[in-house]
Amino acid sequence: MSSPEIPLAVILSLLDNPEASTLSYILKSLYQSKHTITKASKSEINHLIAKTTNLLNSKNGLKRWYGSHVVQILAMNPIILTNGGTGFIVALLKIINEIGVPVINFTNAALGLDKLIQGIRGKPVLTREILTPNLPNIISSLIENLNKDLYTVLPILKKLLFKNTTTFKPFINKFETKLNSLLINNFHNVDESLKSDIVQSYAYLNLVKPSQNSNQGGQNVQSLPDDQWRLKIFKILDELRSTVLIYDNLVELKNDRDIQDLLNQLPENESNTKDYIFPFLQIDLTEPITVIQISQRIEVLSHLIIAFLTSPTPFALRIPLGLVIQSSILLLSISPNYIPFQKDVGRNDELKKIITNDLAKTQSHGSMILYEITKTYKKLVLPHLESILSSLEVVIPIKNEKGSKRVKINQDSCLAIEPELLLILKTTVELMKQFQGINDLDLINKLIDVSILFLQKRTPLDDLLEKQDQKQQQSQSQNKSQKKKTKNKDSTPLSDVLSHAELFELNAPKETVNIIQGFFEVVIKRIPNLTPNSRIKIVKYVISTATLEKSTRGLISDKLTRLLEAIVLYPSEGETYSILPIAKRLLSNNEVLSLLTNPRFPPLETKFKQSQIQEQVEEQEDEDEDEEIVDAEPQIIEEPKHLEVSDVIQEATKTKQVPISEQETKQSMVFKKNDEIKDKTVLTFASEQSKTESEEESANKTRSLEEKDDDEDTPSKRMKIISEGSKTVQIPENKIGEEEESDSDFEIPNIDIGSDEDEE
Amino acid sequence: MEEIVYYNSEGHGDDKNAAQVNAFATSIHTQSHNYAFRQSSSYPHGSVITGTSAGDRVFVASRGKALINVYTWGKESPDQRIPIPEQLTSLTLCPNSPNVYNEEYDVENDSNFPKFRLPYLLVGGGLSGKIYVWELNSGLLLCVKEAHYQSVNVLKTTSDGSYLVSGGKDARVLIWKIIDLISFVKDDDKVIKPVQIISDNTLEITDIFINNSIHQDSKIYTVSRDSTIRVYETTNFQLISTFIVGQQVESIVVDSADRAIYLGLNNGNIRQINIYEPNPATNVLEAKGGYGKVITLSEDHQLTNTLTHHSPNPVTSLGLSLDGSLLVSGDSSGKITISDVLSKQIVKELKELNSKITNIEVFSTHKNALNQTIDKTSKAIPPFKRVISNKNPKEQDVVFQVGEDQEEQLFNIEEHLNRVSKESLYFQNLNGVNSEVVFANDQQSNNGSNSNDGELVQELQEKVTKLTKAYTDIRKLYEDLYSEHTNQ
Repeated sequence: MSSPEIPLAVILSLLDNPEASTLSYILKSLYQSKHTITKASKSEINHLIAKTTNLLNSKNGLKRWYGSHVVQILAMNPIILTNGGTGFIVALLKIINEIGVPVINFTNAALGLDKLIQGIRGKPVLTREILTPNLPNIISSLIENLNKDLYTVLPILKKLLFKNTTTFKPFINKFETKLNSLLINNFHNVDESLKSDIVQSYAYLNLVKPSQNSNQGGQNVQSLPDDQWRLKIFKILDELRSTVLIYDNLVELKNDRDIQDLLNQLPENESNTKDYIFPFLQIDLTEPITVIQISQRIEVLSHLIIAFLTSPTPFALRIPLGLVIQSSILLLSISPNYIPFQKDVGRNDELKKIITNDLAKTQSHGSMILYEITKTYKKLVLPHLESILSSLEVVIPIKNEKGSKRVKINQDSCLAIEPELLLILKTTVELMKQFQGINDLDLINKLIDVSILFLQKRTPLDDLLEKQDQKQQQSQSQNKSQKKKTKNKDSTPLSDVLSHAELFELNAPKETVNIIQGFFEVVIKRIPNLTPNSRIKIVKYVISTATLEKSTRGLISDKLTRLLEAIVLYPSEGETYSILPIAKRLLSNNEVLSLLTNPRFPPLETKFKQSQIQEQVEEQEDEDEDEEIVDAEPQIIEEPKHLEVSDVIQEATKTKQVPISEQETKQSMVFKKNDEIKDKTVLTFASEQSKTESEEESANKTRSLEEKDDDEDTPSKRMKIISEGSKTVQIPENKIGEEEESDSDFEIPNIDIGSDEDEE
Repeated sequence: MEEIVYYNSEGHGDDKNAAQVNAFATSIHTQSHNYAFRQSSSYPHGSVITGTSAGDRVFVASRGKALINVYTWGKESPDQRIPIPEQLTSLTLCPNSPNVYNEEYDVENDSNFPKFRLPYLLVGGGLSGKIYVWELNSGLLLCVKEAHYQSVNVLKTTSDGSYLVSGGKDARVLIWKIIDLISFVKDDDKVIKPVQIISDNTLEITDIFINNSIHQDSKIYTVSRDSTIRVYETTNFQLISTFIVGQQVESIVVDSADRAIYLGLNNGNIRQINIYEPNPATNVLEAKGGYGKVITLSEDHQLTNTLTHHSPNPVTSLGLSLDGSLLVSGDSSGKITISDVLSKQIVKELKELNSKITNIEVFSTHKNALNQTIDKTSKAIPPFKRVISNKNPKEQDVVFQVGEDQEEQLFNIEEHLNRVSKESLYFQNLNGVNSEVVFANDQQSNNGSNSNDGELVQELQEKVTKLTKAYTDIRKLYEDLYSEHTNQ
């Protein structure tokens, strides 16, 4: 049988004449048919390596690109690694270091190196022979050319920094300067993934860096591996604090006692400003836009803190978690809602607005720190819960209406800082997941109001229409003819707005809806004591949205399904209604709800023995049948058994003298007293009975009505069971025998047959 | 797959050489994995174990000493002996949040367990009836609470770590909200109270079991020397049902699917109560108990639901295997057996400990996790503070390690090829014009421009000097004229 592997010779010939169109084919064959290489002869492998190296060394951009890709695949093969690893690394480094190399070649060369390093890492001999001698070169070239393609190189360097710590040591300062300039100058114009790479690399630097003040005070303190890391966190916190203090020039920060307390808690090291990452900020109050630098700087610092606290590390670190949480609480508490502006700022309206907006951003950074920390440290955050919740609450803009006691959220302001509030929501969700039984519901209630607001359709025209109204009113007071003129002029382009306002409405963004639905789910699941008002708001939203989705798309999204299930499964305290029927109707074929309406008992261990027992029973049945044939009348056998059971009950009550108050305990006792076999047969009977009942249930339903009339004649409870027995009479003939037989061990059916006969 | 049972005993006499083995961890199914722990004598429920893979730990509240011994999994003698304010009679752990919800927007979290990991809290109950709560990552003593009038016999937390249930020698069961216990408090007058005090029992509480359902469905099973088993729900702590047996109950374990309760009795019997049994009248499977019913269990003379092999020594501790079919039981003489719950036969006898068994815990692990090399140099946990420190939030200084991301194992060739074809466009000529732009040697032109720059600078400089000169001339002229004018 010929195998589908592509022969190496073909690949080699293709490598001679590289064309973009053949590359995919070669890569795939090299990747899929690994045995081709493993089985190939030494010379063939050398040939392959030589050809690839030639490609890399050529001056042609296409050939280089081609070669880099081949290397990326070959790097996964141990044989090639052993033979050609060094050659590849040297060739790739040459490309990387070349001045004016096209980005595409540079990127792929870097990726090729990454793949090679990845393949070698962890294998002791390969590392010693190939990687270690070349690593300094690799690192220095990569750092040198970092700016050529940040997105590719930085992650590679990060990995090297984390895994090849010792080799990286000589290059730390160089790397740090590069990162510093990125942090200071370019942080705000790169995307999130690169941001996190930058700050994580920066954090790792401090893991590698030798600690600076291990010999403080002349004492020979044993330096710990995380000293530098810890020191840096303190420095960043200090810098954060000093940045926050800038706000003191804008709002009356220091007059707020809580904030003052928080500020005092943070480490203070004013004298050492030279260690700060950032230069002095220049803020010019005559140019309000310069104010936003504060929140931008705080953003970078927050990202750094998060990186320091949540990056994976090779060993456990001492983390000043309490301090970090206090700092983020500080950021959250600088709320424009509660802290007045400084007097001289108060007159400039533009400046005031920008400051308010900037403060909201700063608050969201505090919330972001908390969010990430809670995700990583989980319950360790809980001791601070009370202050965290109250500081999250102050972010929500409120308006105090005179006369009404209830504090309402300020809708316009909320919409203006939607992304910031969503972060607050996410943070709250993360916190709520950690525990059950929240005491203070203020925040939750407010957030529910905010969520409902965000979920509503947005129209950019509300204000516009208002303006229109105002204008109309104005013009009404003026001359009538004049009014007509102005109205026509103004409303022509806006006629759509007036006639088809709904066309301008937009749904809430998907991300918002996602976060809010997640929030609702957690609220429903974690807070059984939610105020009815808030709960109704959620339920109303969920049902109406589900109905909408069902009627427009025909299916309900996963999140909403989960929400519906949650509302059914987690009723609030003292709730008297359930939305189960609504949910069932909306979600057909839903597993959870189906299980809820048709509960199945967990299987008993005794069922395990069913087959044995059934055998026993069958044997008995055979015997019984024999007896029946002989006796013709089953009642005779069964009558004494009935007596026996009642005797047993009497005996039990007499001898044991256990207070038996309820019918059911009596019955269970009876069966305890009976011998084991009987117990078991009862069990089998139970299953058979239930089976036949379920089978015949529908058939019996109509009949049971007729039977009920019969039942009324029978006074005692036992007689009711008789009527059940009588159901079996209507079962197809082949089953009747079985039923009666299994009944025969049991006292009750006897009477019923007897009584039936009596009635007849 | 492997199942490991950890069991601990009370110890006996003086342990002069500190050589007494008081605890073992051993496999249920095979002969492998025997770990012994020295000097680990404890009161009943006085030891806890976090797991059975590298990096896990065993905490034992030393009997007779105000110490907690900490063992690294796999080591025979304690790594750390942490002094504490008083002798502890019971311990329990509060896990650091198993993930209950999977949010769509944070699925990227697939990091491995870090090597250094700890549960969230260690809760200890003292001889005096006090409850101590330590945060393991920081060692902070977050709370000391005078809870019981006599020693705390047993402590348990709910599976989500939200509630703590304590049972004391004073026959009371207290239920605490953990969030209340651990909060940093600003005002002193805030008094922490248990959310519920249960004083239905007349004699000491010997064991508590909490099943691992979601909070709304969780049940608390308490057993007591007064021969009762009481079942409470966790939403409003109502008594659901009471079972009465003829014997003092020493220990309890409940099937993980809530099918059966197993009781360790004082006379050495293990009694099984099936929670679901067919109603003899209707033959429908029915749950026993509910609505506050009291069910008196009759003597089981036929031994259909009784295991007797420990008789006459009281069965002090029980555990169940993963599938609930094997029951691990230990008695006051130190005998420990594994028996099959269906056939009621002994499957295996484990190494005896010669003194009362105080704890049994069964873990199921995967072989991969077991074969990890045990790190003997693992970082010590922060020592426990002996002074309560809930006033100063900034003192919380945790030792923590974030787990490394899982290495991507398989390379996605299709994705890679996709990128290749995208990149190949760079080299392809799509506009049909067959021409090539030839760059003059970059470096040369650069150099050239540099020299041009130099020339330009020179030129400009000349111009500037020229202009300045012209300006000063004119200025001079003007001043001369002006002075002439003023002189006139």
